[in-house]
Amino acid sequence: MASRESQASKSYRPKGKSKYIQSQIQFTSATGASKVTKCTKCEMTYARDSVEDIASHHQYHDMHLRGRKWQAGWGHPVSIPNGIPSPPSSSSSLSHARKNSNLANSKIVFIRPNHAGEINATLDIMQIVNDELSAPQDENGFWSGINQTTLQGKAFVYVKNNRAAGVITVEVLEPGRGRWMVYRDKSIVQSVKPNFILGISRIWVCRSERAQGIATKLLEAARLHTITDNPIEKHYMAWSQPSESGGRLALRYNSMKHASGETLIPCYL
Amino acid sequence: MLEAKFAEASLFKRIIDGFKDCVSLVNFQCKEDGIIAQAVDDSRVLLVSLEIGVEAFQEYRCDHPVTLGMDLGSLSKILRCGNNSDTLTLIADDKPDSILLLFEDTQRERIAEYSLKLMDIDADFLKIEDLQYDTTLMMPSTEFSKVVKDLSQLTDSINIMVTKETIKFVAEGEIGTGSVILKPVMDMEKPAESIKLEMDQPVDLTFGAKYLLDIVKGSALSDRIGIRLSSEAPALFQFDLSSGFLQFFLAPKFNDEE
Repeated sequence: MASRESQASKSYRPKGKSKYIQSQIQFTSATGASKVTKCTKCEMTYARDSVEDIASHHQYHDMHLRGRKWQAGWGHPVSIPNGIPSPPSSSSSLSHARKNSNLANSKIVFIRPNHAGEINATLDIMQIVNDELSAPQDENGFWSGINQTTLQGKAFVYVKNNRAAGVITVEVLEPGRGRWMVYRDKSIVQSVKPNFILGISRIWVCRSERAQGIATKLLEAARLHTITDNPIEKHYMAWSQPSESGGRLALRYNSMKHASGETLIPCYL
Repeated sequence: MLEAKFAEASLFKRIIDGFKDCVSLVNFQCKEDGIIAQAVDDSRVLLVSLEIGVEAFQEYRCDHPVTLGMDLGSLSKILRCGNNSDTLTLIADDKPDSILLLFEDTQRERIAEYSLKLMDIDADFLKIEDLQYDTTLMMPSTEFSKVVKDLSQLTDSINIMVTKETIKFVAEGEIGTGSVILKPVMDMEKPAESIKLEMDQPVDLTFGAKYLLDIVKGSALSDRIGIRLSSEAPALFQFDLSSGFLQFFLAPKFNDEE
C-alpha cells in the first residue's frame, strides 16, 4: 500500500471576532506531489491540501475580485472628474441607482510619499496588478520613493466602499522615450519619437468593478493631479506596453488617427 | 487468518460509535501487533486515527497482515445486533471478501454470527509525524463534552484560549455569547476529575463546533481526554484505550480579517 506523509499545517492566523475560514489538514504525498487546482475566478493555482496555499488563495482571490481593504485615512483625496462618459451598458433604473450609490461611496486618492501604511497597501495591490499583467514587480520606486531619492511619478487609488478597487501609477517621462504604436498590429513606429509628458506605467481595476468607467476616472485623476496646478493634455499621456484590455482603453481614451488611416496609440519605452 | 476476540462487544461498539459519524469508509489494517485504522473526513478538516493494541483483546491472532475495508454504517448495524456483554470475535481469512462477526453469550450458550461484505477502499495510509505542541491538556472527557455541547448551541465556532492559569472556551454567536473557564486542578480522591495543564506557550485557537461535536462522541471510550494544541499544527484530541487510542487531528479555523 502506498504511503503518504501527513504534515502539520503552518502559520494559522489568530482568532478574531468576525468570520472564520476553516482550514484543512495538510497532506503531502510521498512523491511530493500535491493536489493542485486553479481557481476559475482569480486564476490562481494553489494546492487544495495546503493550509498556507488556501490562505494565500483566499487573500489573493478577495483582492483580485473585490480590491484591497482600505483604511479611511490612507491617501490624499483628489477631485473625481465630472462628466467622464461611462462605457455603454444595459442601463436600467436599478443600475442607474446603483451607479449613483457607488459614486457616493467612492473617491480617488493620491498616495503620499513617507506614508508607509498607504504605500504598503498600494504595494499589495501592485503585486496583484503585476501578477495579472505578467509585469516586473520592482517598478514602484518612481511613485513610492522606495530605493529612490527623487520621485518621478505618482500613484492614485480608486477607493470604493472602503476597498481599493483600482489603481494607476504614472511617471513623468524624459524626452526621447515616446513612441507611436500601430493599434492594428501592435508594432512600434521607430522613426518618430514624440515628446509625451506622462507615462502610464500600470492601470488596473479589480474584477468586480470593471466596465464602470473607473479606469477612465483614474486616467483623468492622473492627468489633472500628477503635476500640481498643471493639467496635462490627453495626447501627452503615453502607455507602457498596454495589455489587450489596456489597448482598448487607450483606443477610447487618447488614440490618434494617422493620415495613413492607421490608429496610433501613444506609448513609451 | 485473523481472529480478534473482544471480551465485551461493547468496547468495539464504543470505538466504532466514536468516529462513525465523521468518516464512513475506513480501512482497518490488521497486523501481528494489533489493528490500526485511519480516515479523513470528506472536508479534509478532521483526521481520525485508531490503534487497538493486542492487550485490548481477550485473544488475538493475525498470521498475515490483512486490510479490511468497511463501511462504518454497515458495521454499526451489525454491532447493534450483539449484546454489550457478549464476547465479539472478528474473523477473516488472509484474502477476505467478507469479515465474520461472532457474538457469544457464554452464560446462555447463545451464538450469533454475522458476515459483513468488505469494500475495496482507495485510501492511502498516512504517516503522522510527531508534531510539536504548545500546550497539553488532560481533563475529564465528560467535562469537555459538556463544554462543547453547551457552547455549540450559540455558534458554529468555538475558541479555545489557554494561558498559564486558565483554559477558556468562548462562543460568540448571533443570539449571544458564552464562555467557560476552567483551571488546572488536582483531585487526589478522584484523579479522573483532575485537570492537568502543561503549557509552553499560550494558545488561542478556534475550531468548528460541528467537528468538536463529532470528537466528543469518543467520550464513551475514556474518562479522560488529552488535548494538544499548537498554533502551527492541527490540534490533537485523544481518548486512550486500555491498549491503544482513538485520536482526532483537527484543523483550526482562522480569522477572515486581515
